[in-house]
Formats: sequence, C-alpha cells, structure tokens
Amino acid sequence: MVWVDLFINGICLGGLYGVLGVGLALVVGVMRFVNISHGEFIVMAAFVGVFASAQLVGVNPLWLLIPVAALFFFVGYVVQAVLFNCVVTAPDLFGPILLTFGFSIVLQNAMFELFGTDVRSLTAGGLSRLSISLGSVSIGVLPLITLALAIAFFVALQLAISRTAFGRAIRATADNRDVARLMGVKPTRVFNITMGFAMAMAAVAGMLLAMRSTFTPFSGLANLLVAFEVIVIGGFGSFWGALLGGFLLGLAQLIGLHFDPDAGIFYVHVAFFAVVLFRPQGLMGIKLP
Amino acid sequence: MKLLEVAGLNVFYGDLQALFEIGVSVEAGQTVALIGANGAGKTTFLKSVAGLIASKRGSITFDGQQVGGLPAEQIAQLGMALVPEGRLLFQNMTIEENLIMGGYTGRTGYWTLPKVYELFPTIANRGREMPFVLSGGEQQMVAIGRALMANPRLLLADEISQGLAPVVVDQIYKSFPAIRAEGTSIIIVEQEVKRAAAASDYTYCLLKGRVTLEGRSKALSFDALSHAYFGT
Ligand SMILES: Nc1ncnc2c1ncn2[C@@H]1O[C@H](COP(=O)(O)OP(=O)(O)O)[C@@H](O)[C@H]1O
Ligand SMILES: [Mg+2]
Repeated sequence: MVWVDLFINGICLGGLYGVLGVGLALVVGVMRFVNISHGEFIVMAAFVGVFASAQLVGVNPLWLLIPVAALFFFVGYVVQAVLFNCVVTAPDLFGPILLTFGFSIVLQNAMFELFGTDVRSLTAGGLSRLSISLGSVSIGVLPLITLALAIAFFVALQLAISRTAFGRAIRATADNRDVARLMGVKPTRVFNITMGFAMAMAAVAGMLLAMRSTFTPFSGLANLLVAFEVIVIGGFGSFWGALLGGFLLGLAQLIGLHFDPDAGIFYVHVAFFAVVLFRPQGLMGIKLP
Repeated sequence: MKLLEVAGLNVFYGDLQALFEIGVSVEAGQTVALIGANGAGKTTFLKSVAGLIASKRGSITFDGQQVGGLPAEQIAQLGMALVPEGRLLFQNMTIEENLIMGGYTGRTGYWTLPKVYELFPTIANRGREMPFVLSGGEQQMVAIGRALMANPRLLLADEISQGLAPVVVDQIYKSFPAIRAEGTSIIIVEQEVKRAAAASDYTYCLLKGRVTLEGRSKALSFDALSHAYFGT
C-alpha cells in the first residue's frame, strides 16, 4: 500500500513539476531564449501569495491562484516588452544569458532586502490536512487538486496552441520568425503574450509549491533547475514530454525520500542524470540520426 | 496608376552594399519580371520591399503610401505578399494550417481556402497532410496559395521554378492569369530569362546589385538581355 501511496503522491507532485517546466519550454520553443530568472518569478509568486493570503484571512489561497496568475501574466508581458525583447531579437548568443542571469540576481537580492531569509510557506487552510480514503490508501486533497490543475493547464495550453489563430501565430513564429512576419504576425507581440502565459504558469506552480513545501528568496535556482530538467528529459519543445518528465521527477523525489528521508530533491537529479545518460533525446524527443 | 514605385534604393548587409540606386515600378494589374544571375540581388530586393530588411535608403511607395520605414508585418497588412525563395512552409503545420496562416492579416477578398484549392486541384483534399510529404511542385503551390490567402494587391514570387521539373513549372505559371484576373499585380523573380520574359509585361535585369537593363518584355532582344545578365 505504501507503493500506491507513493505513486499517487509522486504523480501529483510531478504534475506540478510539469507546469514548472512547460512555461519554460514554451519560451524556449517560441523564442529560442532561456530565461534564467524563471525560478525567481516562481518565488515572487509565492511571496505574493503569502502576503495576499495574510491580508485576506479566511479566503482559501487556492482562490488566489487566479488573480496572482493574472498579475504575473501582466508582469511577464511587461518584462518581455521592456527588457527581454532587447536581446531576443539580437543575434548574440550571450546577450540573453547575461541579461536574464543578471536579472535573476537583482530579483533575488530585492526579495532578500524586502523579506529577509525567513523560511516561509503558504498555508492552504484546512485543505492541506484533508484527504480522501480509497480502501487503505489515503490521498491528500491538495495534491489531487494540484494534479487536476496541472492537467487542466496542459490541455488548455495544447488546445490554445493547436486550435486558435493566435496559437498558429505562435507556432509560425517558432518555426520561422521572418516568414511569420510576412503573414502579418508581429513577433514581439507574440513574445510578450507567450512570456505572459509562461509567467502565469510559473505563478500557479510557485504558489502550489509553496503550499506543499517551504521557500526563501533563494529558492529560485532549485526551481529553475527542476524546470530545466523537466524540459530536457521531456524532449525539447514537447509539451506532453514535459508532463511525463514532471511525473518521472515527482516519482523519483518521493520514492527517494521514502528510503532516504534526508535526500531532499537529490533523487530528482539522479533521475534526470539517468535519463540523459540512457535517452539523451528525451522521453518524447525525436532521435537524431 | 502605379502600385509600387521604388526609387534610389540602396540596401546594406552590415558594411556590404547589396543594392545600388535601384528604380523599379509596377503598374496596377501588371506582371513584372526581375531577372539576374545568382547573387545579383533579386532576393535582397524583394525582402527590402516587403520590409524584412531594415538597413536601406531610398524611397518605396506602395499604393500611394511611403512604406520604406515600415516593418514587414505592417506592409503585409497593406496587401503585399511574398512567396519566399525555397518556399519556407511552416513544417510543424498541416497544409491547411499553412494556408490559413496566410490569411492571418484578415484581409478579405476573392481568395479563400476553396478558391486556392480550385486554383491548385493537386493540393485539394490534402489539407491534413504535412508539408514534407508533398512534392516540390506541390509545396510551391501551397506557398503561393498561402500568399494568396492574404488577398494581396501585389504578389512577390521569388524563384518559384527553382528545382522543379519544367512540366510542373508550366503548371504553376498557368495559374498566373487567374491570379491577375482578381486584380493582383505580380513581380516574378527568375533566373530563367525566356520564361520570365514570356510571363511578364515588363522586365528588369539585375547584375551585381544594379539594374543593367529594363524594358517591355516583348521588345527586349536576346543579345541585349544576355549582355545585361552576364555583364559581358
Ligand atoms: N544575409 C546576408 N548577409 C550578408 N550578405 C548577404 C545576405 N544575403 C545575401 N547577401 C549577399 O547579397 C548579394 C545578393 O544576394 P541575393 O539577394 O540573395 O541574390 P539573388 O537572390 O539574386 O541570388 C550576394 O552577394 C549575397 O552574398
Ligand atoms: Mg535569390
């Protein structure tokens, strides 16, 4: 029974990791641009969640996901428009890395100045203790909600990208920016909105993560690392691969913790390493000849 | 009335100047051919006019409006469509999605999905397939169809016969009267002089970034053309 328990909880955590990764994957796929400050945005969303729920006593923090996601859509849009677009269109390989790495340090220290190094978490009210029993297995309600949200995000994103006119514009821009422009697509607008979506997903993931574990202003790097591992083992540019990658890492973490309670997210990295070693093209990636 | 008027156009790739003082004009309803050897600057000319190359000097007037400083996406909105050299279909989209993408500007007019399929029956019923399964000629039809979906006033076609069998090229060129009949002017870029001259009203010859000859297509002598083309 302990295995069923571990499996279910691992999948639930994995769904969250999938959301963490897919925002980054979207940005990499559309802009060929890695945002190293992605993890800091995840942490910022968690801080916003903590302070907002302190103001709104009695409101279940799950409801805060919606306004915080909307806020971070706006933040992502603006940051892309005023900052990241300066380097995305440049042919220089180091521009994006230097800019977003520097930006991540600025954000980290700003959060440190404002909030100190206290370890925090977001309390989900009574929700974090609620669970439903299926025979001898008990499943937490919060992890289940997390998984449901993660899957809803993946389905919504997949539909938006495959079925809508703007989704086609995103794919066209990812394929060939100049040809997309010839059809009337303005790439910077596509980039701004894409970053908005990525940040909204980062915000949701950040708040849900803060409900199940703790964070400090310096947790961004660990988040970025997990997000990165998710998209690498998922296979670059594959959304469903990212979800699968998230599941694998979530399972690895919880199974690892079961045998080795002090391991933290060590076994996440072990699983990542194993996949890269034996299947370097990723789980869903196409094997290069 | 002049639909496109390019005057004194100079285009640069960094320090390298690719076009020198180009003057080209297209009347409404006209088909203009632009010929020249590899590296003459034909693609550079089309890209500059379409707004993909920003480092340029000179005047580009489209439909009475100065467009030299506008980006490609805004020029597309005004009704100029480019069929890029090498077709460059969106490989991650179906044929039909490629065509629909061509209509992204929302410009309405004669050209719709059914009309494009009617123009090129060989790609009708294949909308759900991916571009890589099509032959080169069929891919070229999709590329032209995608441009038509924007209901352009001016169609720029860059080496549409490149790498295709002559019968396929004939088939594609046969679609031009139908395109013109809907009020679209065309600039065709070709390396093959005879075909370009036969399909056009007016011809410009480019050599090393300069116009070396121009005139009514019917009136150009083969000697003069080959002289202008090769610079001999
Ligand atoms: N992206 C580029 N960067 C630098 N030089 C270029 C670029 N594209 C084309 N050129 C140069 O500009 C000249 C004209 O090229 P192009 O317009 O492609 O000619 P054509 O289409 O007639 O074959 C050539 O000398 C070519 O080497
Ligand atoms: Mg060319």
